[in-house]
Amino acid sequence: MAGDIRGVRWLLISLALQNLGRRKARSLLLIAAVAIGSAVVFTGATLMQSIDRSMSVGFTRMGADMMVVPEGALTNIAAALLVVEPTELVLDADALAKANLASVGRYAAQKIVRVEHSGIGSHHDSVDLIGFDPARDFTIQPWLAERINRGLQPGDVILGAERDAPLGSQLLIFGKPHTVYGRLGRTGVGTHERGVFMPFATLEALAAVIHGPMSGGGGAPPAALAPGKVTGFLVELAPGATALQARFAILSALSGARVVAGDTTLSGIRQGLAALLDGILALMALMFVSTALMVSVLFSAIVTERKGELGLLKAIGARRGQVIGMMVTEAVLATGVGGLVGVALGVLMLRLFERSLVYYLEKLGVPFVWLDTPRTIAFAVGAIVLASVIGALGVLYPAWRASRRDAYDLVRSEG
Amino acid sequence: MLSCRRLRKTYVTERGAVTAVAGIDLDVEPGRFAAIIGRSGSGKSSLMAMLGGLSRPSDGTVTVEGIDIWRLSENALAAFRNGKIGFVFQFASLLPTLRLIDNVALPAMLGKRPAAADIYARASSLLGRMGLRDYLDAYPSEVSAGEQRRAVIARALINHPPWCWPTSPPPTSTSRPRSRSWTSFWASTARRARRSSW
Repeated sequence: MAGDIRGVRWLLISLALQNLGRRKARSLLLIAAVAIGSAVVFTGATLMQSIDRSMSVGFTRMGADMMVVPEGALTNIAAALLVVEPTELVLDADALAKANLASVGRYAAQKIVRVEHSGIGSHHDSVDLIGFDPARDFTIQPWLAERINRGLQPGDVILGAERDAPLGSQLLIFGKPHTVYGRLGRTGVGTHERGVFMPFATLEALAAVIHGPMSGGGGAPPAALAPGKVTGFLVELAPGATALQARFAILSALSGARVVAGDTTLSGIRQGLAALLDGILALMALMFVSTALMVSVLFSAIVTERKGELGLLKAIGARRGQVIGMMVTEAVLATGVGGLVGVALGVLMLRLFERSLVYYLEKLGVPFVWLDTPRTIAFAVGAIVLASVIGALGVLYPAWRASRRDAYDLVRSEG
Repeated sequence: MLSCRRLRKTYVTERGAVTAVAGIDLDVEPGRFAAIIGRSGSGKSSLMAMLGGLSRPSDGTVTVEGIDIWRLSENALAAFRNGKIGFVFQFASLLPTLRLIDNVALPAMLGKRPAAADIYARASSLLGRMGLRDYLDAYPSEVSAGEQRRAVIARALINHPPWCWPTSPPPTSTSRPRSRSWTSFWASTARRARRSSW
């Protein structure tokens, strides 16, 4: 129909849209600039969060800051976690509880027994049975890559990554049935990858039937299986405590113990990554400000160019809010589209990142945990909203200034 | 009644202050036609802009129907311009990205008076009277300069303004005799516009 009816908002939005269309090259450049900024913000934020999560998960998986073992025990400071080798030397299970050291945040006791002829794997396969206290443990359960959908119960076992029995299946250990509760992720430590983990009670229940190498080949069961004895403790420092403080405190409280600290380079990497993430955050903030300034400068020029139109709108009765609103709509449309394009670019960049660096990291056994989908979508929406906010903030001052001027001055100054 | 007292406008330029309007007193009764004539640069447009609420005076008062318009708030002044005065500028004053009918309807839409359908019906009627019935959906760039100016007159009359501010000679039209004077053209146009109803 000729002369279709349009509402005033539609008319003002139409004005904004068509003004963008009038200067296509300029609008496209603006959209491209905002798109690049939004892509950096979206990709940066998603990656930062993913790296932060990976670091958090990774360092939780490290298990502990230090290990307390009997003097003379063999230890293995693997890249990923502290591991104690099974020996006949043991500590009292309540040694650290009695010491009550302020520099010790939390600790997890472990009993480790190396056995043969257990029924797991081939006949002469040597298997580490590792007992832990499910209530206090913070070193094994974070490694769980998969598990059945219930809590850990007596009689359950957790397999190392290399053991391939299905979840929920029955595993006979020395003829006794156990349920496969879960499987650990790759740790990079062979004994752990082939190990079988179980609660203390489950391991102690096997004491009567275990006659492994450590037991003297048919003699008494291994010392670690004796009630009240453990192979060692994995210790996490109290907040603010240093490794040195904890080491001296433990050595002075526990006689016959040895303290093994983790690899300090890991702490260095962690601190370095944290500093890098802070730097990226600062760069993103600077980029936000510089994009807002650029949009402001551009819209100052656009407002100057369109003084006549704004003056005319004021002359026929447009209120200041309507004049500002039209300009803000125009800017928000342009920068919002820029934000949308930026998120699409960001998704492509993340895919590229996934196919290159993350692939190699995972091949090296370094875990990389992507941000979950809802939060990634929230970041995408946030980047688009942020781009729109940049547009709104950028245009606000020039539009506000123009709206303050007399309509006649605006019309005259256009020439 | 439209009145102004000691109306003054001074522009500050790089070469110093330039007085465009120096202390004008004026009274115009409703229904009367007043023409402000003078040579180029004598301050006619500046005076009209101050009387119409478009440009703030450096000094003096403008009273329309008993209201000192330059004491009104920004929004009230915008409402005054929207409802009380129909401007016909001497420069090309249609928004190029809107159709002729949108341009004509826009002041009424901004004023939120009747329903949009009524506004568009009146805009269509006014454009028809200006000989532009076939160009309702046309954009300003698609019609001649004279047709644009007729659309501007239709826009000036859309809100039934009690005061009309034409700052240019009437446009030529095939439907109107060229011999008609400017004042009589505006007079007849305004009368016919007032007689029409929403």
